[in-house]
Amino acid sequence: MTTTTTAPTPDLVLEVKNLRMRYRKGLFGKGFEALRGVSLAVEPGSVFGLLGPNGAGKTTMIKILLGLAGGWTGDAFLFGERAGRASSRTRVGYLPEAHRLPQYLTGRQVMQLFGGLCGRSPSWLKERIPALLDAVDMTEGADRKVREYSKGMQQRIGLAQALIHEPRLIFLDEPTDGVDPVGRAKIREIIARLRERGVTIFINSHLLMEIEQMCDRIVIIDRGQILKQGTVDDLTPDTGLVRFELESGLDRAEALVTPLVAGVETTPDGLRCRMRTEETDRVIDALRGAGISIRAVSPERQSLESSFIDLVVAENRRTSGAATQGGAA
Amino acid sequence: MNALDHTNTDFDDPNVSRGAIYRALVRDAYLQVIDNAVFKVLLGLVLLMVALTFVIGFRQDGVEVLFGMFKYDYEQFLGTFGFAFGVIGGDNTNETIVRAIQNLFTTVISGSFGALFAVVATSFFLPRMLERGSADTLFSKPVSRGALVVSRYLASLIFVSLLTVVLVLGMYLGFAVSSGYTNPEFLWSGPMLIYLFAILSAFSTFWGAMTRSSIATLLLTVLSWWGCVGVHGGWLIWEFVEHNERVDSSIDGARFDDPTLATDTAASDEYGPVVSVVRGVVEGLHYALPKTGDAAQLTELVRKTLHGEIRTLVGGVNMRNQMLQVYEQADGAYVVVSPDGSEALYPDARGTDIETGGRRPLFLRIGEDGSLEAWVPTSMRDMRRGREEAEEAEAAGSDGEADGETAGDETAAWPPSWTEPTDIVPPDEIDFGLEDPATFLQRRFVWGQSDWGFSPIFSFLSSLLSSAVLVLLAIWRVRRIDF
Repeated sequence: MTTTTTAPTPDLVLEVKNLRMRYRKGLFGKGFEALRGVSLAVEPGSVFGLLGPNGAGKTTMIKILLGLAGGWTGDAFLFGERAGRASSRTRVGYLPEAHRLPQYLTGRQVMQLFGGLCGRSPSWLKERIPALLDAVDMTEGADRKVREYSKGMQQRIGLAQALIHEPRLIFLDEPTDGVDPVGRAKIREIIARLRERGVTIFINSHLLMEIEQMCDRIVIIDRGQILKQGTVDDLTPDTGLVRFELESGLDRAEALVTPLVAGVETTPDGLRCRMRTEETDRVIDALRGAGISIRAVSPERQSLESSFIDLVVAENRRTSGAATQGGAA
Repeated sequence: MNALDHTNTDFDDPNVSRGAIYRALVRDAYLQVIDNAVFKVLLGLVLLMVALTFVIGFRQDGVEVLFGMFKYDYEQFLGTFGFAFGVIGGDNTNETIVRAIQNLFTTVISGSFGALFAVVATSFFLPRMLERGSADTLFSKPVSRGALVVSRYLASLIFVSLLTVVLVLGMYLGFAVSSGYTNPEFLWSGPMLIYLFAILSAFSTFWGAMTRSSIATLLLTVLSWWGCVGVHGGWLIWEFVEHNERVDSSIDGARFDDPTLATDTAASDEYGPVVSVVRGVVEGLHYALPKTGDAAQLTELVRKTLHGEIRTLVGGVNMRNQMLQVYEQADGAYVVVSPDGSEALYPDARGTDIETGGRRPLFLRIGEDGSLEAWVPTSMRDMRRGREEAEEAEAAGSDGEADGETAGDETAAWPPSWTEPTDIVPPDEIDFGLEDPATFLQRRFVWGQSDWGFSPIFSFLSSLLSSAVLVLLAIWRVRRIDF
């Protein structure tokens, strides 16, 4: 049974409070809890990334918001309207993972169908469809049947159908799945342009690098719970290491820097030093003073991937530890 | 326009056009049908049949192929196909053949094999829409699941409607051009096929929603169809047998002058508990399930009604151990059918010129020469005098002394010794001899006079209602599916 206990916060595109969902198994089966009290808020115009291992509850949350799954408790709002209502989906676009478009239609007809289902008139669609097909590089194949499309073409038409009615919020579930590198770059470009135009984008992906490149805010979710959320910088903390890429003097550099800072190590293209920010100038001065040319200086941050793995592994340990303690007790 | 720019400035108050949604759903249903491989094959076959009706003409004196380029007489033409000539002939040869062909291709072939092919071709429509990936994309749009389910039901109807329109209209025009024969009542075959498939498609939609499997939907739809045919067939045979037992009992009672033999006890009262339960179940299912088997009967009834060919059984008259069946035609005339099948037509008995404005009675008797004589009074005065005559004749123990003109003569004077009221047998108690259940149904399946079980109006409305319930159950189920 769904329950709404609080009012939506104004101006939020998406809001979820204490969202819980249990999938039942059989008539008397206990099932499992896919979401365990998830809360999050998404502001307009941001690109929001949802990360988590398989079975974490990412897709379940999207399906609840889109009215595709029932039986949840808590609060879920889209544009201040209770999630699940047809009217709340008017301003929402969705590209599901492993989507299957009607095989008997051409790409252009798919656009006409989904645009029509969003209440857009044929004349309005007639103007919009060619431009949108062009934006996803599908003008050429637009009049072929979907069943003749490659995976990448299906993905691009799928993205176009999600955008057909000019949604203000777009859910993209694995948007670059099966798309070649050029296609991926194109999709990233489209997402960037949509963000510039104030569209809110909610991305669910396993490709952490893409999430890192595209998202303003990220939520890491596992076993139905949010482990951490914040900006990319929040989730990829400074490691305290600074990388120096050198043009010359690789053989002399380590000897020059070692007296100045601790933890110096040589890399194939320069040095990596553990140091405080204020020590950077001293190292640069020493290197330049010795006539060594510096190509780049960059602080090293933890990658999103390692941050994600650390969080998930720690959670696994915590959960299994709690289970062991519970069993011992 | 840049595709990623927003032209809609009214997003805070989105104005979704319901009309656009329904147009999109209907167009999608149509596109799904015309892309279907089975549809293309069936359309090809239908067009072939229609083309043949244009190039082969059945004329009064023989068969013309390619607009008279080749001519054959009927014996020669039918002999080519291995048929012996002999039955066909007379003034309406071409009419007989064209009607037979029309009936073969609409009622027999399209109503059975065609409908089966259509079920096979359309049973996957809903299950495929409910597959993950497909349902996610569709159901995330601001359109109700009910509308999407109905759109698949509609797609099935479009499938059959397109084929039916081409078949029926094409054959009609083809025979009009090549054979010079038109029978507008044939066009009613179209609605009949669509009506039949509307019922089957409701089953298909129901099972599609319940199982979400194309194969299971196909099997269960066909089983449901056969189940309906079985239930109604079983019910009909049961009714037929009970009716015959009742008639036999009535006849025995009259024959042996023993009222105890002519019992009114219903046959069902004599059943044991198990048979009674089975009888009750069959009865209940007959009323509850859509009546696919009645589609052809309904069409025939509508066709006959609209073209004035309908006749209603008024009753039977026992005269000298002969059961004469008396029918009333749509134009008010009486038709009296003898046991040997011969028919006699008597003039319009429905008059507004007499005082009551109602139906005038038909008086019957066997004349001295053994032939049937009938008389329809022209006024209330005639009618009263006729009855007095009959009563006098009865009192005198006479039943055969004619004193007036016979039927058909509106100027008739005094009909003598006409049918006694006790000789009138109500329709339910007429012994039709070797009648089969199908004829039994056909005779009872008439407007207004039948009880619920045989009522064409009830059959039509209850079938539509049952089909609507099946579609509503499908919508109910789909609304509860988590994707």
